[in-house]
Amino acid sequence: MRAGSRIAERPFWLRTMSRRHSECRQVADDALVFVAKARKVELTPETHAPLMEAHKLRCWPDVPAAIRLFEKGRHPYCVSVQLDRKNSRCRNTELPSMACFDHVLSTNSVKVCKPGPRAWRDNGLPAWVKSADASKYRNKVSRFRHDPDMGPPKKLADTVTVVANPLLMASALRENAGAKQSLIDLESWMVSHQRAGPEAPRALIVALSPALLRFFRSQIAIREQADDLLQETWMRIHRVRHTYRPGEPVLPWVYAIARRVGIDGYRRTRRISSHESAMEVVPEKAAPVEARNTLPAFDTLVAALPEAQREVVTMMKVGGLSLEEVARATSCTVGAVKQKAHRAYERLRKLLETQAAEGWKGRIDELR
Amino acid sequence: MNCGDVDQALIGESAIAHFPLDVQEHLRSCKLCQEIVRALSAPVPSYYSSPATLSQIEQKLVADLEAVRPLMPAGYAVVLGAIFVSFLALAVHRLGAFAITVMSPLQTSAMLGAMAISTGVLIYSLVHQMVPGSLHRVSPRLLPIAILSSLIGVMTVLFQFQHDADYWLRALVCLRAGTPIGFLTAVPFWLVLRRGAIISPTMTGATTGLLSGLVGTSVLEIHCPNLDAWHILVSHLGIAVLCSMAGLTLGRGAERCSTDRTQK
Repeated sequence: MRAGSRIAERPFWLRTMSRRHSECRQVADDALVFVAKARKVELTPETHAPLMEAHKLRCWPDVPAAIRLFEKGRHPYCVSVQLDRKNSRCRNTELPSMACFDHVLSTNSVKVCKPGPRAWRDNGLPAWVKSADASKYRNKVSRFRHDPDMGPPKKLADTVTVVANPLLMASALRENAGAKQSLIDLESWMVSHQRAGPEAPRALIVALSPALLRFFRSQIAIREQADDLLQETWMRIHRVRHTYRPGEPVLPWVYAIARRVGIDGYRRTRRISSHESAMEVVPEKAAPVEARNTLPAFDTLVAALPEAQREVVTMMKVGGLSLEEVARATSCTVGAVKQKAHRAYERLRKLLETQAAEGWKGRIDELR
Repeated sequence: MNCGDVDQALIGESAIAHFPLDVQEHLRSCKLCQEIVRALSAPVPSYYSSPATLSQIEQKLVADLEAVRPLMPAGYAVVLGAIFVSFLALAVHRLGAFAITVMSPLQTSAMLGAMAISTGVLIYSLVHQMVPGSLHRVSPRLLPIAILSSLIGVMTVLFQFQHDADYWLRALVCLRAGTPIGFLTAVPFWLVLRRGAIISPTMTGATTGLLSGLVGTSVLEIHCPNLDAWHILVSHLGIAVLCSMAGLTLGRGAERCSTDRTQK
């Protein structure tokens, strides 16, 4: 496949030079047939399809750089140059990630492969982006530099990045929840949901469910019902979607609702358990005791904190919310959240201090 | 530089690389801080729901998908203010403004000013409570207590404590006149607020109760010529306290109902 990938690059040049444009997948398919023929490998329909599926390009070099910038809270200029805007697979499965691209260049619409200058020029790339690399047509990924004379757009960070493959970008993002949240344009999806956009529910569910599930799993009292609470949260979000104000951050709004659902879930569990009579005491499975002088997992660490402090630390460290966003989600003032976080860290410091002496489990139980 | 500064840095920044240089310097020397930073920046396991679950949620949402109009908090603030003023005007028109002629200009302006500020702050808070994820400048939990305390302070300073033989009789008259006004005003407030305010019905109930109770208090402040501080505190401000408690109880009941409904 590696040989195929190398050879697959050549037809793009040839096709561009001879003005015979084909879709990327078609070119890759032709290259596969060519390689199989050259290596005298029999290509049956059974082997052909899996090989095409296995032919996946690696992440472009610009993708990690772009993610790093997003992690720092900056917004690099992202352009998709490989996938067509009309590509159905992209539209159906990767929509949330598509929202992070400032510009989508369609090579199919101009019928020129990427090496051709028309792929860039005729696609309406903004004038303030110009290619600074003389070897731009020799690289799969072209790095653009901002032209200072044209004046930068506000969201431009210190680098202008061209990301060539949104599907790979999306998979890279899936591995990085923090960057994912910054990348996905949740606000526009939320507005679309209010306007009954048919694709909005899916986009929002895919983007936010892991974070919500993580939030519920971090609450000891309700972690067993995390999946049910997730469903209930989505139902409630849907029911009160009119309370979202366009232009306001989505995450605090969602977390505020999730928090409410969590409280309801906890009360429900408490009420049910108070009505249930214990039939038999089931011996609890012994929790694995963490070795001394090793750091506890995040869940174990925050388990020792009181509910309010745990909630704040979880939202900040796992949900990636800022102080103000946590304040919004918990209906508190920023000062109160700061105080809770400060107390939580003080308590955690004390816990870590005594960890070596008593071991984690015992200490947490004692502090609870 | 001490460990507390590291806490501050942790609160502000999530990545160690963004910590100020002196904090990074302290981190190199303090083992405990190193551990806490390491523990908090360690990757947390990700959880994913099954695609079937997500698809089920999506289907439920899509099945009931229709366009909605986003809530306009400014509009709601105007509506709440209008309800307050119209009920106040109506009640004063009916009962008469006898207290204005008895009170000094300072007492009148200070009392009505305090009422107006309290009403404005309560409406501001209520409008924010209607929208989940709003930024509260004043904690909505503390606001009713803070407002009642400041009104007690203003009333205590402005009016003198006197001994009245018919104290309870007069108090009862004022309570009977003001309480229905408060409860009556709560109805249109509730009709407006029920579009939002899903986050904490108890808190919203208490705030709404206090706001509607303040209508009754304001009416009595304009109507009742009795300037005894005990009377004003118990039978005028008492209406606000009473309505606030009623709102709190109703809110708690609504919250309980909502939990039960979810259960079903």
